[in-house]
Amino acid sequence: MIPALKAEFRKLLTVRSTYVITAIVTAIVIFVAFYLEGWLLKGPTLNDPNQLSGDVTGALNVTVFGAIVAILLMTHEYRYNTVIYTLTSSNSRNKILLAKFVTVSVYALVLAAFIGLLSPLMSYLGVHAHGHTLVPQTLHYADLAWRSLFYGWGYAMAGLLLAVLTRNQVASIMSLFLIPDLAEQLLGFLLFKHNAVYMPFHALVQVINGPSQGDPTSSNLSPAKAAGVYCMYLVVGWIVAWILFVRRDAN
Amino acid sequence: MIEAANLSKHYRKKLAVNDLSFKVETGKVTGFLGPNGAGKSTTMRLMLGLDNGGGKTVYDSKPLHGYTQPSSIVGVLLEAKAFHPTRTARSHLRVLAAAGGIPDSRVQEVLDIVGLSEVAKKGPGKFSLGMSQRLGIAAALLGKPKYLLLDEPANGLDPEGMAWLRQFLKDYAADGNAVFVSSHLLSEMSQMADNLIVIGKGKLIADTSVKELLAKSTHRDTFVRSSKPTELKEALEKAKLSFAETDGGIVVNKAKSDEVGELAFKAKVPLQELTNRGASLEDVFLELTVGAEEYVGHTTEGGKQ
Repeated sequence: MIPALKAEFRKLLTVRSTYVITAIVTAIVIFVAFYLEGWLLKGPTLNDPNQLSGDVTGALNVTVFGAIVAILLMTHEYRYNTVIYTLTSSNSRNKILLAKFVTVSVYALVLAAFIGLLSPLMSYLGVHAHGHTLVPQTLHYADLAWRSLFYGWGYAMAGLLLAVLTRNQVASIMSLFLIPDLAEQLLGFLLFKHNAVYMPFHALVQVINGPSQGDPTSSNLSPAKAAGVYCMYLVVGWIVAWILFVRRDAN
Repeated sequence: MIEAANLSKHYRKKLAVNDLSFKVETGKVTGFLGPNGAGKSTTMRLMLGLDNGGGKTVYDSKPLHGYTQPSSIVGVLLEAKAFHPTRTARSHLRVLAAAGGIPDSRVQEVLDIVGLSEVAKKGPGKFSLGMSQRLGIAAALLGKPKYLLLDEPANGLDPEGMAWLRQFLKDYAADGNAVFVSSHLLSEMSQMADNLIVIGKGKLIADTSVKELLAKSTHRDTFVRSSKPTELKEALEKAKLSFAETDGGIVVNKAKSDEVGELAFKAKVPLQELTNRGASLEDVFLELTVGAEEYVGHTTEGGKQ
């Protein structure tokens, strides 16, 4: 297991895309947090004690990039046929997939933690750089931490899952964007109506946003319940993906 | 020894590999031949457990997944361009070394062996086919494996590279290892391989040594040159031997040189040259695989090649 893990981390850390994507995430968070959520902040929002915690949850939308890193880690194997080496270097496909799972999890958690720390810091600096002051902020550290980490991890796991299922880079990335933004919206309209929140990505968003007030279509799950719903989808999806990975031809 | 038993693989209705069994002995280079689409690559993938199919392959009586570190048992080169184009050659090998539990120091050793040390820090995306093959061979050698499975490793190599590969694989086998190598370069194979396994349409056609295979061939001609060709042709016709005139001489089909020499002596025809033309590996290969080709080219729009 240790050799497989070591190899996966090396794969992750020796491709340009990992650094490019992480740099893009950092740039977006700095721009949005420092300039839009800090420098431009004025009026009553300066008196909002939840301003910084709102910045954290907002900034976490960029963890979709973590899912793309997860997709690339898996689909590069098929695109460049390195899966031949990966599968013949280890005596178990289970170990390989578990190593990928752990590697993506670690990257996603580090990325989410990084965003969660960078975003309020940049916001705070932006406000002060413009000569303003925020009212004392209310930050529920533990609650914010688990929701942020779960959201980042959950998105990356969905990316990895799609990559294992499709084994195709374009198909995985397209699915990652189309399922939450199009498929779930349509299903929500057509089938689930008020129960749209039970769909996977709706549930994941609920984890980070929490129940919104006054919106009956998407506001009836607590973050913990939403995390549970999302995990159920992940478990089912991963059982299928795991079986396919172990049983299918290499590529 | 590698023992492959009853290997078979279907792609929907098509039978790609059909109950194939053979052995690859240590200390020898075993060539793996077959026309395009014969199932060579699929067979190798089955041997490595990359594809699902029937049969089993054991390496010293154990399946590959029965070993803790498979890359120290089998080194694999199935595709020259199997690498991430922007990950440097050294990093590519370091990833594979990590996966196989092989120390990083081995990476520089294999880079030196294949002669890629100078480009180790470059992304292999712009490598020529020959350089890519060398990187693939380096990857196969990482674990100092007892067995090498190489699919068309000589493709794209320059003459120096081919000569190096030929000698390297012969030496590697001579050290008590086994090399199983497929190639379309039959002249190369005839110089390199000790044994040959020939398949066609997924079935075993021949499993023998190169010498035996060449000896079995019916393709045996004699080239003869004489100052009295007319008399020689008359003698050949009398002996009911078929022949064809070529530039500066006559090729007598399916006849040994001593037979033709004796005939000329009896007919009192002087000879300037008498040469046995034994079958080349290409002749034998074409003879063996006739009807087993998956894809057949045509010389003109009308007829087969």
